[in-house]
Amino acid sequence: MLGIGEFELLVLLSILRNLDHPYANRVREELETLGERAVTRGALYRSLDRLREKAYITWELEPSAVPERGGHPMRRLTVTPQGQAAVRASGRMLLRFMDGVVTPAKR
Amino acid sequence: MTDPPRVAESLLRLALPPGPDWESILGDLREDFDRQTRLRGGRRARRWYRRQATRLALEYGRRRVTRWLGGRRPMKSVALVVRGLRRAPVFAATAVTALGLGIGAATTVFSVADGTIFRPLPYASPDRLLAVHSTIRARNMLSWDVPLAEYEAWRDASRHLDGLAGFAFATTYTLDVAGDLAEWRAVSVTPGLLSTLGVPPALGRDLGAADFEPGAPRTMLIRDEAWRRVFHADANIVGRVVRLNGTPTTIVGVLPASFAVPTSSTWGVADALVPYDAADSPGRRFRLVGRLADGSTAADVAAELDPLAASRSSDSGLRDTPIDGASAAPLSIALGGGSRRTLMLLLVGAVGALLLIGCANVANLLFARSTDRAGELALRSALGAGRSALVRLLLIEIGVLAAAGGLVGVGLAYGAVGVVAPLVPAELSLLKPIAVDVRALLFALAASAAAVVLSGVLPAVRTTRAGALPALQQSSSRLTSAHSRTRQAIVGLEVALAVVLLVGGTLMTNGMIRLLRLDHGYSAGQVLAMRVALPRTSVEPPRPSTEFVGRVLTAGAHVPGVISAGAMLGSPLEQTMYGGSYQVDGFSAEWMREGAGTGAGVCCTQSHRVSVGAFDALGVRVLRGRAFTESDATAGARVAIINDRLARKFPPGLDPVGHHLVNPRDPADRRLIVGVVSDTRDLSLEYEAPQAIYLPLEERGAVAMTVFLRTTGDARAVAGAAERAMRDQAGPVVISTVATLREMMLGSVSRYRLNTLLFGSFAAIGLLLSAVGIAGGVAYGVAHRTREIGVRLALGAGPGSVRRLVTREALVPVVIGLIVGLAGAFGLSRYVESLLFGVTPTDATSYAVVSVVLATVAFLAAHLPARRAARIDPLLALRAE
Repeated sequence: MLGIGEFELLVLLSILRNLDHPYANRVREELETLGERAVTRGALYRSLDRLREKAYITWELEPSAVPERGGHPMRRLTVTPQGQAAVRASGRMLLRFMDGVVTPAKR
Repeated sequence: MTDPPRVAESLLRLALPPGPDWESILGDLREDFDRQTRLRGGRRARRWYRRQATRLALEYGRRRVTRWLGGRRPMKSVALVVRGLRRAPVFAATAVTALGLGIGAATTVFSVADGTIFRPLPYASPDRLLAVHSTIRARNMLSWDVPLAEYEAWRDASRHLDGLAGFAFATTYTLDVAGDLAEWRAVSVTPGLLSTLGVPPALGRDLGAADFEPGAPRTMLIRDEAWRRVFHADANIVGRVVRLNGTPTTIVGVLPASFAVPTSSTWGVADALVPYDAADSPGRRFRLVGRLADGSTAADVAAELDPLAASRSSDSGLRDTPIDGASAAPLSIALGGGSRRTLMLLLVGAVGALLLIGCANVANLLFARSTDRAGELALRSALGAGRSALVRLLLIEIGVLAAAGGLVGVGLAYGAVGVVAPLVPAELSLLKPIAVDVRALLFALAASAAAVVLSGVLPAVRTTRAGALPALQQSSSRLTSAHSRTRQAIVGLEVALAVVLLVGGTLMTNGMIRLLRLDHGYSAGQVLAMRVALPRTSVEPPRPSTEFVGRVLTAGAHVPGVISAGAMLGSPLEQTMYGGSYQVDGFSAEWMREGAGTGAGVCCTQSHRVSVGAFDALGVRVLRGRAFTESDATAGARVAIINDRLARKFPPGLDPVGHHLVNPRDPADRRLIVGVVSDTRDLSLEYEAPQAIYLPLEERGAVAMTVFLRTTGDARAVAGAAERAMRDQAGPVVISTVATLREMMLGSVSRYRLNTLLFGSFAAIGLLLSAVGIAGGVAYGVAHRTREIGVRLALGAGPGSVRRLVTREALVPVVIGLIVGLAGAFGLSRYVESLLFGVTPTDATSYAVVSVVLATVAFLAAHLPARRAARIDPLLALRAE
């Protein structure tokens, strides 16, 4: 799918859904809640690294906003225009493929 | 807000790539940790954090390693290296053996040392614990045990101690579990020993104040090992009532497996702790442990208790010398005596040397091999491999070798610990059983990693240096060994270290041989010794009984294979001392004392009670007069026998037989000397025979004694039958230690035996490794000088001169190493002094033996490959160019 896997697509979507708080921990919560599955930290960080290598996301460091982080900075994640294009393309492709499919359960 | 576990966080920080980008990951984790703390509590949150951080650290660590290994498939590089090594099996096998021996020896010693000095004491905050003693400065005794009243006064007065408790040395009891009698060792304790040490019982409860009330029902805490051995780890043990010396005693708890009474002496080894009962054994003295109050130091405690003890001036148990002060020292120092530390430092040094020899060996082999592979490396370089890629390849190779060596080493360590552990003197291994455990495995891993660094880095860097690689068209055999000077230095180092080890090993072996060759005075080979006691089944202790002695000896004498039976109060070779108060009639007390003692702290004439037949059974010869007979036992006979050492003090021509022994404190106590017997080293094999007096055991009888059975064949073989005979025919008796006299003798010198075994093996391994190093180096050297040697031969040099040339060149670093090593050993000699018996640490014979052995081995190791050099066919050698 245009060089992104399903999980990567979900990560991109989760970032886009959290434009107010685009941080790794929020993205993980979103993935777990909406995706109804456990997401390991390692998998998420691996995906973020890969998405950045593909130039689909970038991040900027922000000083910690909350005291619980022990002074460590946080990454504000941004989906780049290429990333947004990839998301749109993936969505379109999914729809194209879904079109005309009648699932057995519905019949 | 609590902080996350520091170790886990540091681990993760270490694994993450550097830079602030990655610090945000620490922040993410910390933020969630905070939430977990609120939701699930601190402990579970910390566990959660540790798991998460470790997983991430592994993930990022793996990524970094993979990247460093040049791509996504590290196993591919490893497979490549393994393939290369399979083409050089001799090289690989030698390297793995060298590393395996080094790592194996290091891991073995670590396992032993870990149980004895490395590990902290098994108590809560052990650094806050003190050993508290009374002092009798008038007699220069600074760690005297403390009487009960004194202990109570100190405990009540001290403001710098949070707890003070004491224990007395273990005494034997008769344990009666539903009719089964066994000997049981228990330590009497004051209230609060466990709470002072900070060790709660594993099962049940601690001894409480009520258990110490006079007349309270008897209770005890049992040791984990005894719980498993006697009670088969019965989970319902708490509350069970057994009989101890005939008194019903309730087991109130089981001590944790790691518990040990805080003393480095074997008399602290016990099956149980019992509340001290003043009515049972009045006047007992205690060894004390105290826990420091916050902000106080050992010096504060000493300053507080010393004047108090001095002012009370209470009875020390020694005549005319009351207690005159108190001392306090950190418990860890009180338990870890100086000589033990020296021994362990020496062991660590020896093992370090061995590991270093192994690494030097491998480094040498790698240098030699690199000449072999120069062509291959040059080709790789020409095909575009950068220097770092070449270094990486070489390091992966040594990594593979070290991993294999580590596995071999761990296997060896498992085997070796099985051999060594039983030889470790009991007082060294009280606090932890000796075994290859997780810590030892981690150590082996670290040792393997160190091996990679020590043996791999230098060759990898030097052989890939710009200019070190030949041009492609050059054949590798044309390269004169570019690294020969480095290799010679390595051989020299190897030899020097091996010489130091060899000197140590030889000195100890030398001492051990002397020790075993000593005339100890017994014919030990065929004597079985067993400790037999009357059971104590009531509050009243049993009375010494002559009839018991007779019964036991009769039963023993009738065991098939036994020639004679005898008994002795106490037991020889356990460094027990029995002071005698007799003097020879007509000679002064000074004459009697003069030169009586021997060895460490033995001051006086020994006095033993032996039965009829005991000299026969032990193989002690009667030199003059006669041995004891049945009639000596009757009251009024009043006879004695002395040993040769005492007899030799008599003026020449004066026969001691017929003289009298007198007791200055009791004028009626006069004994006729009826015989002189040969000397025996009955304190320990290492101490000369002291002067001794023997009295008939049957005069008073005994409650417990050591029985000696002299056998026609192997003494061990009759042990079972003898034990059965005692139980069946000698009435109710309790049998504990059963051993041959030879075992007891070896036991008395177990520390020498252990040292000799350890350092002797190190020396042997060191010698072997350096021989391999020398031979390997020469063999490779010859292989690469084929052309040069061919030219020499073609120009008319004889095979003999070639052989001499090669051997001579190989022996130069050996000779230098030998000299350096001998000097080093001489410099270190004073540290081994305390470990030697009968040999000075600068013993010239040992040094000479080492020099000859090493020179011979080195010559052979160099000569064999040199012979091959002399057989090179000059035509073939030159045509190969």
